Amino acid sequence: MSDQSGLPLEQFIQALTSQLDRAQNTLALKARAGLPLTFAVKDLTLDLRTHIEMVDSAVRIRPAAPGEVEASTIHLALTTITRPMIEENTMSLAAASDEPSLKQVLGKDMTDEEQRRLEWAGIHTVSQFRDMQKHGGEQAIERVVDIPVNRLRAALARASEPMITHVTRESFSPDDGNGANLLRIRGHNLLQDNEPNVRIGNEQVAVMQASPRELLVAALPHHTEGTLSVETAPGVVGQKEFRLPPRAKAAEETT
Amino acid sequence: MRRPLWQTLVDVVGAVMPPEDSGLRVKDAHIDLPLEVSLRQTGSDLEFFGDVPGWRWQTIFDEKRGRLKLMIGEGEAQ
Repeated sequence: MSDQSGLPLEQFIQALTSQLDRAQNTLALKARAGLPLTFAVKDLTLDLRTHIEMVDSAVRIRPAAPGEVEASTIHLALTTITRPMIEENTMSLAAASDEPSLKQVLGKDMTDEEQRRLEWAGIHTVSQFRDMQKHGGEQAIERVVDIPVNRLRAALARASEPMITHVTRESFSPDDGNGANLLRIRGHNLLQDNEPNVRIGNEQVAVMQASPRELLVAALPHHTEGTLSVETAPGVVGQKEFRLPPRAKAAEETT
Repeated sequence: MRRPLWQTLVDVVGAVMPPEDSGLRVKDAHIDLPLEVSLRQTGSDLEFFGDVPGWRWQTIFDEKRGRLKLMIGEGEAQ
């Protein structure tokens, strides 16, 4: 390996598994090319002479260099799995695929190192973070990931703030100059215990429907651009600048 | 020059397939080989190179070898 400081173990495993995928794809291609019989790799075991190091909380791996007699042997056993097995093991992540990652939500509130420790504990998404806090308790997370409770609490509060991703005008929205201008607001955490307070600029607008992922509001005809604010609890506000397209393009989406 | 591991695997699998007109049928094979590995970073991609040793005897200047154990069998890849 050219990098003397080693590589994160997960990168190493990814590089290895992508080689196996490529080998399997090539063998499958041979089968489709008309060979009467072909083989597949069923199991593969690698014994590698390496050095394993811990840098912060990341495990790094470096193949043993010439003359290094004190190297460890890492034993990797890989086997083929079927699509149902993959789906069975990725269902929880797939269900959460459209929610923002911890990094997107927490941003600068937590260091990369702290986020890595949360991922290490199996917390990749905000909902996992919330569930873990609810069921495992803050003290348990603190012990495992070594992040103080007050910082975890602040991070969770930040992760629970409303986030607006899209503002669109409803295509059936009336345009008689006086009627409501129905806007659909999509995002995350848009509803908590009570109906949210929605404002465009300084004007409050009526909420027609509300769910954690979507709001339907009756805006006034002049509300075609400005700052949209969604307050789900006192002081818990998410904001987004928006501009709607002209009426002829009402169905188009703004971001 | 070491080959990427996938090429080595495909070649090893191909090597145990009997010629079509031989009348032989290999149902499965267990292969145990010495392996020299290296990693190369190209942009954001990390490629894993793994090949059998190019030389039978190992000198103190060679990187430590690993081992590759492979079980292959009839059938299409998953």
